[in-house]
Amino acid sequence: MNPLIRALAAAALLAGAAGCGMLNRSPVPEPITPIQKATASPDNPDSAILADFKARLEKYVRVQRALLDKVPISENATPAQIRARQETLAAQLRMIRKDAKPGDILTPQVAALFRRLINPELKGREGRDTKRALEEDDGTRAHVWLRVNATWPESEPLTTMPPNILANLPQLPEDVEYLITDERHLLLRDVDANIIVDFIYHAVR
Amino acid sequence: MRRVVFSILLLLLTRPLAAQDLKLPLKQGSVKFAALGDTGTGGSDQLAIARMLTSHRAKFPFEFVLLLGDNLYGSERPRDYSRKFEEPYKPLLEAGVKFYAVLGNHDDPSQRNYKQFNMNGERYYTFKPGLRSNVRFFALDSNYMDPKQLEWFEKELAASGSDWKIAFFHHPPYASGMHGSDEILKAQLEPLFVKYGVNVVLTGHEHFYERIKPQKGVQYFVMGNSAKLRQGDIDPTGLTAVGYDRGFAFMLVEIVGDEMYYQTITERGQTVDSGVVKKAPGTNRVIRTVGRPGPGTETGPAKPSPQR
Repeated sequence: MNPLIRALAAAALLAGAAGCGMLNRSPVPEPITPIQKATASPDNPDSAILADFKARLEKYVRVQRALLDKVPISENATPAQIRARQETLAAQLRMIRKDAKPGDILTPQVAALFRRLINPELKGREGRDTKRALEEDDGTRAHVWLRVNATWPESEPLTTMPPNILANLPQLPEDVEYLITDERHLLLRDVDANIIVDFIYHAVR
Repeated sequence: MRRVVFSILLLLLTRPLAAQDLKLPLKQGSVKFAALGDTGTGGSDQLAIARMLTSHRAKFPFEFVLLLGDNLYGSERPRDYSRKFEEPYKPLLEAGVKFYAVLGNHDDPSQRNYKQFNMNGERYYTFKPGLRSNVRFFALDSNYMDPKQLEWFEKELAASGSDWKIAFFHHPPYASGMHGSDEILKAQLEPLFVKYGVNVVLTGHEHFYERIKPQKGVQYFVMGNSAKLRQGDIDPTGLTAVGYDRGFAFMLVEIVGDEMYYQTITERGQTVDSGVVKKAPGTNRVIRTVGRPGPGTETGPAKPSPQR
């Protein structure tokens, strides 16, 4: 067969296959999340707020990790050793951060931004599902008295964070996590020390 | 004479039903495991289930147990690890049975450092029981399904060449109880299950047992009544294949080739559900689940209700 005819035939075949959806089309871009929007451009005022939040949190995490390095956990740690490590770390953090106060990390600007990032997820039918996901077995949420450096009480469940809210907020290093209390306050909890690092009142409306 | 007859009757009545009714194929070389959910109370119901599970191991020598979260309710001091985990399962632990745990909403993430939970310090992880087995398990943290975990899960699924892919975590994407299906979690996870051929999902959280009718080629089980019970909580929907909310239970599972056999047994040794999940060797999708509901169970309407 003439090479030109062969090439034309191949092109026609490809065009037909594409028309029938047999070939992969270029992937549809993923919907951009509010947090991606906020960080996409340095001109976005939210970008500076998030950078400030990140810097404050990193400062905390550096301190926490330095303390953790001094109390390494063995592969065969017993429950008593796990507990002792948690309590030691919490005591040391309380001492180092004895002057810490609400808003040191979650500044008023960060709080306002987080409320904006969270609230779209609480509207409409999906919003109802999100609120339901925040509730505990009996329809209540964890009741916690908020204070920086306080221990998350053992009597309270660790509320489930809905994945759609987590997708809208800045990702955290594994040392800290977001939690939401019964009064719909958002807090940062130190996972290893089980203490409240900072919080935002009524972050979820 | 009357006393002898009475003694025999008493013996028959009080003898645990353990292993009397065991139906799995019980084949050599198969993957055998058990699943327990919402266990960590330290109460008599947890102990009753633990005893029944232990007694079944004589005939069904499972090598490991999946713990589906809420492993320790309330305080988590060293004595709680002992009372709510080590003591109830002592005979199994001594026999070398491994427990693989996931975190429930009542579990402090520090449990990930506890050797006996085999989490290797991670909130989510994957493992394969034996080098030659055709099964891979994915243990997820459904309390905190952040983009980082989803990314990890997708990467692990894509790299898994196993025939059977079994995911286990605490919150059920499908359930017919007070909470209903966790729609938010389902929206995140189900597309990955379907895309990468997850066959079976085991969860807890709802304090009953429910086998869901296969959804998009995935078989879901809810197993959250291994120590806690919410009686009468199941409101059978089109999703429900079988539900049991009248007592406590655990599951025994055996995988043979393209078939996964399961049997759900109560603290009294009664089988409330049993059957087989079959997958197609080519597509790896669940094609059919055959089951036989036991006494005291509920089934959903014959015609499935429209999916949300």
